[in-house]
Amino acid sequence: MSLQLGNFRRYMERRPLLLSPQPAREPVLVVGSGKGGVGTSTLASLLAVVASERGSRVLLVDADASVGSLHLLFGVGAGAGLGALRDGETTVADLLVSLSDRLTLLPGGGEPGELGPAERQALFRRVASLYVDYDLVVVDGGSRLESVRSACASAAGRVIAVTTADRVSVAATYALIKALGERFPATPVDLLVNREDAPTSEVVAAEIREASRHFLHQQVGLAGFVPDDLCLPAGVVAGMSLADAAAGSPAALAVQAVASHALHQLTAAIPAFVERHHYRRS
Amino acid sequence: MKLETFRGRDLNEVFDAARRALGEDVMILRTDVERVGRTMSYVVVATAADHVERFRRRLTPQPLPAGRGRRPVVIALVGPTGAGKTTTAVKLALNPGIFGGRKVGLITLDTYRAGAIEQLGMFSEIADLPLEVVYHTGDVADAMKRLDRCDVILVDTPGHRPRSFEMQAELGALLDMIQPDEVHLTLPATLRVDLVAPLRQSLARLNPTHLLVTKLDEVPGEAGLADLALAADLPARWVGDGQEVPDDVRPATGRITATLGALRGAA
Repeated sequence: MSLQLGNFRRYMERRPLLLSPQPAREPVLVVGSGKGGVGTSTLASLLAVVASERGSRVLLVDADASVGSLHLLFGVGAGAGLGALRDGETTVADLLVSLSDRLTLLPGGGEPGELGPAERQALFRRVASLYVDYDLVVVDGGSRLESVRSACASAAGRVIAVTTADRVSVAATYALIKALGERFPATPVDLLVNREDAPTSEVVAAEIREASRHFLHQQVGLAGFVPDDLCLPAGVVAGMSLADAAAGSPAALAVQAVASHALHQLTAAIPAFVERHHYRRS
Repeated sequence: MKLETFRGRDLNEVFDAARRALGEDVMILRTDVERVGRTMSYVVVATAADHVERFRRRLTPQPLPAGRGRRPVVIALVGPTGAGKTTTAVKLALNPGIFGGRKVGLITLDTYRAGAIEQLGMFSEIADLPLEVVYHTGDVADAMKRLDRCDVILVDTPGHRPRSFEMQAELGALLDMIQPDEVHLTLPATLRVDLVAPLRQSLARLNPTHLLVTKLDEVPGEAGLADLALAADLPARWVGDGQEVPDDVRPATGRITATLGALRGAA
């Protein structure tokens, strides 16, 4: 980091906190992880499917800046990507893909590295302007901190941090929680342990939550546990739609509980169109 | 404004010469000593007092506009490449002495220069400033709407390229849509004075309303600053005098007026 930027960062850290009103956040759930391959995209997709089947109008957003894969899970084409918005003719609505009468997808796409982080985040603000049209927005922030932060910067109501039990994933999840806590101290983070049995999940969750409480002074909630489910990926690979592959699967059943809990937390904490006060730096 | 230089070995005689030439209300701007070998002489730069007052009045800006209705106050920075528009925009947004506690948003129209958006984005991300990128006139309305909770919007623009008429026309069209309350012609203090008028002429389409001089720290004694201001003939609200963000931005009028004695090109 340049000296100028470092001095600036230190200046911002010294500025006093002031109360100031902030606009209400829409019910936006960001699903992210510190390490790839833990099932973030699948879980984000399942959450969206489950919520839509329960009657909510859901927007599922692929915000993964590296390789967005949600379109593969749903068997639709890759989108043009946020970069298409630069042409002055494409609108965000043009990028949306309707998956059902209650589920809409904004797929990832475009060339990797096409957009720098700041430009990506600025274009993501345009996506966020659509959130008001949905009951729930699920954002797949992927496993890169930059993507998760971009997703959170555009009105995240809550974050679900996905982990598995392997030590690298646990460490990366802790790092993600720390980074999000520093940047978005007012955004609650819930932990979801994927692909593990209940006893292992409980141990992993307890470790991470206790470490966050002790070292980071951050309270991390618990979104739930999702068991390993070989039928689900097999069904998708065989060409089934995610909704069909997940129907009745142990993973989908567990995700239903996660979705209920998340929706309840979101709508309880973020009444629509009501301004609330929270601390921010002036 | 005409400045004259008087020299002599006796300071009182030099002052008398200045009074005879410029009247009893002569304003002494600078007194200096010149040594050539063993010979020492005094140098006095002076002008008529009412000239200084006219200059100061021309330089003094009106109070910041309150914004039209509920619309934020919109301030655009335009000027040659490398003038420091982007860094200055961040300083203005975050220096507590500039807009007080008002909420500030940023718009960048600079989608041309490599790294321009990322430069602004780095600062806006650290400071939690909303940043909109506008590529075309069709983006303006939505960008302004997304920033309508801000009290002030600062607009960063691409550096002026005199040979690119298409770019100038695009920028003009964008600013026409945005309708800024103020357009600050941003010039580095190191700019040659004779380039100010042609630059202002080539940027006339953008309707600059104010002058903003940057990089004062790069000019010894800030010599020539008042020259630039005279040539630009615009009120000046701020000056930039260093690279520290957000500290190095100050009120302009007194700073520029104080350099009247440190002119380049005084006879």
